[in-house]
Amino acid sequence: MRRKEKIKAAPLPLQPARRAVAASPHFWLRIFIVIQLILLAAEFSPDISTNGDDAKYYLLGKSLVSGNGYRDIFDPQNPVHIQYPPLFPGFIGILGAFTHTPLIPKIGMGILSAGILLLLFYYLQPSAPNLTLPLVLIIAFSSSVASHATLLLSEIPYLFATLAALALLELYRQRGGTGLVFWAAACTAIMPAFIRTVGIAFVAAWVVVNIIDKKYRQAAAHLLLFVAAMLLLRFATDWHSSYIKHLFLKNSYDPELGFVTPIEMISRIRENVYLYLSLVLPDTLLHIELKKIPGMTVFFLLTIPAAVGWIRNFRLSTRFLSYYCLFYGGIICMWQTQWAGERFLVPAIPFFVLFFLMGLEIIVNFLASVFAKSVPQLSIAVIKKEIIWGVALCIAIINFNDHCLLIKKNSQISGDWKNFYSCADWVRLNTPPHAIVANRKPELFYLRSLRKGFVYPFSHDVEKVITGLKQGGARYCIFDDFSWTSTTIRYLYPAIMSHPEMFRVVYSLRSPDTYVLEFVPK
Amino acid sequence: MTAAFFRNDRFFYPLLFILWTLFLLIRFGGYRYFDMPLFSAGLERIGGGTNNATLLYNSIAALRKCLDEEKNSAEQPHILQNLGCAYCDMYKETRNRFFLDSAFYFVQQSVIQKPDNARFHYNFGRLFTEIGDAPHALRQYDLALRCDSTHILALSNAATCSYFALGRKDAAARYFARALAIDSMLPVSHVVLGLIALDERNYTAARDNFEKEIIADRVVLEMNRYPLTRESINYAGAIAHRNLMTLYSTQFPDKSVARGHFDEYLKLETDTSKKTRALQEMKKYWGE
Repeated sequence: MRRKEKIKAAPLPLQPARRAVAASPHFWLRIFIVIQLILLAAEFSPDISTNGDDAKYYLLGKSLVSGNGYRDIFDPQNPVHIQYPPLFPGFIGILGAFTHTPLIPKIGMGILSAGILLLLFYYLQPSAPNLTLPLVLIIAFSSSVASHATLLLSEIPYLFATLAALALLELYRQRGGTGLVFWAAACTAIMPAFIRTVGIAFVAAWVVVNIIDKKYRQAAAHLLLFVAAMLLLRFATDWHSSYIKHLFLKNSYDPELGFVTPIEMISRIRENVYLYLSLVLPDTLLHIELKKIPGMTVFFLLTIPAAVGWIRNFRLSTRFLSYYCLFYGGIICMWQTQWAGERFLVPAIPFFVLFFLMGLEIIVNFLASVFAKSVPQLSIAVIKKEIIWGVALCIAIINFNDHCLLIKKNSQISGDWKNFYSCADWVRLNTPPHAIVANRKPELFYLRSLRKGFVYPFSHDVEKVITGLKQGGARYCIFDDFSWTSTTIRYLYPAIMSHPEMFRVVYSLRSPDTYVLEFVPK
Repeated sequence: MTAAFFRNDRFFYPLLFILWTLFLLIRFGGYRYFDMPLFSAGLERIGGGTNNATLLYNSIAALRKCLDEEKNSAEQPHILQNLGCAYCDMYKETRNRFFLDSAFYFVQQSVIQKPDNARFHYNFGRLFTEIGDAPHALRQYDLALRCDSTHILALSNAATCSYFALGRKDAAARYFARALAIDSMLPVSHVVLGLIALDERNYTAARDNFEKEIIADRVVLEMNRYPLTRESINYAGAIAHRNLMTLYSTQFPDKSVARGHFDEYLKLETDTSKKTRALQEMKKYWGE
């Protein structure tokens, strides 16, 4: 009998072997990764985006590699940077060490995003074979993931590090022992916390799950490594996180307002839960604004299966993910509401989709068992597979449409940015190399103008603004007309109008009106 | 897991990533990260020309939004003040009385909320000057000086207000004396002091003051030290040259100097009838 089976399963000449390859999950994984890379290539922009954060990361990398330390080189004061942990800028610095452009680091981000699919597949395939490929399909087509993979932002490397740590952990569990894989897993597991500070959730989940599993040695080793790495980085770069402070500040843009009370924190968490589940999540996953859909259909369609899957997963071998998402969600819900957005969800989106698919599977199983009595010919296995693939395809198609929009949008730069960059070009060619320029986006301005600068004070007190410009040693100011912010017209314009004698137009552009002003204090 | 990877993908993915990298390097390798600046639209002041009303309108809209959104109570009076100033500028642009009324309302509110700010009182005084209410304007300038005794613009405006609107020469002279102690190159101050000296028939002092005014105007125009328009400085300069022309024709006769001031006066004076009168006067003195 066994011999007969062996003969059956053996690859017969040519035709059946091809069919086996085509039907294998590895084949489809390759297809999905190739599609993802094609989409990324179409959306790829060689330049730094206008969001400002990727310019900061890039410049921090440059600063590290040039031996300037972990400092903001665009700032005239050259201060130690405390906002972002140094691992990701270090990675960018190494990738871009031999060039003067961000092209190589940006290509690296694309490869990392493809790596995410590979890691997802190899990590989940053994424990959730039915869900892995639909999950990979959704992530490969996710325009949120793609839009972050074409920027120099920390979300993609963060997700890559979390999955790499999980894959290594899985490998260690399969092999056992305390050799190279154990330490590799432990070292990789602390990386997320040094890529994004929210990665502390990953460290916490790692320790908690190991303690629950009574693997105290692993928990202790991990904690020890984390503390040692923290001290080492602090010693080597002067970096210290201000994350905890900002977590409890009422408003980071206005520290004078002080810290939140416990009641205010509860209300902030409630507000964030609502924001994330009802607005940010549908937008990240499906790119739809919930207001357009009647009722809360999408909210329930997404959240209920995900919640079911999340709870169920606590009892599975991948329970680490449930704990991690609990901690991660807890932290982002404590974060200030003005920052609630897609960027916080992207590193958790594959896990959310996994819970969603798990929940869907459970719900389909339940409904099929209910209807099995009335429709006996109903095959649960077939229905389950069709439904899960159907849902995954729907999500992928919706996202593909968004990719098309992204590709169209990518080729254009808006007029306000065009003029801002032209001002930077003018400053680079017409001002002394040490001239300091006050402007709204000093990191981006520095990249283009090669002149250091700072943001003018955000105060309605015009004297404070003028004093800030004087203290910062500003020699030029950029009067922009950015459509995404109105700070220049709110704060800088009144200061200019109240002290016109201190500002002299030296370069100007129209549509929208943008000026380079020479600042001549009394 | 590792075995599966090495069995299936050890060649495929490295090759794929290398090809992808090469494609992007070839496609974007020549990308220009720096460019030449676009052609400048000119060196007009911010919002100059037709765009001023639009910019002011946007400014008012942004500040009104701030008024609703700002949670820091210390910022509120400054928003009100900036809003009032924006409305005042809008009035100057359009001459629509509605904007002036709004300016009054917001500046007054800011003064009520923060009565110890010299700038607020000074701007309130300017609004009263705009409508020709000199006593109230002077009161606000005095309040500004109570908050900051060195507020040179409040001193200057209080002096001109005292002299031109209220006819109080002594008060004007006192204010200007204080202002000139802070900055001897304060525009308009010397011309007023010159006119006061002229009234008192102190011709030497008048001549000195008018000459100082001409120097001060030149310095101020070059250095751009005060928020004064070229027109207002030219106006003071024209008065100074006109009076110097008369003084050098009558009290200190010197034809070439008088002629020089006459020529300068013609450059600065915009009123044709005044120019004609000055020409007749020159002909009367020098017979040409």
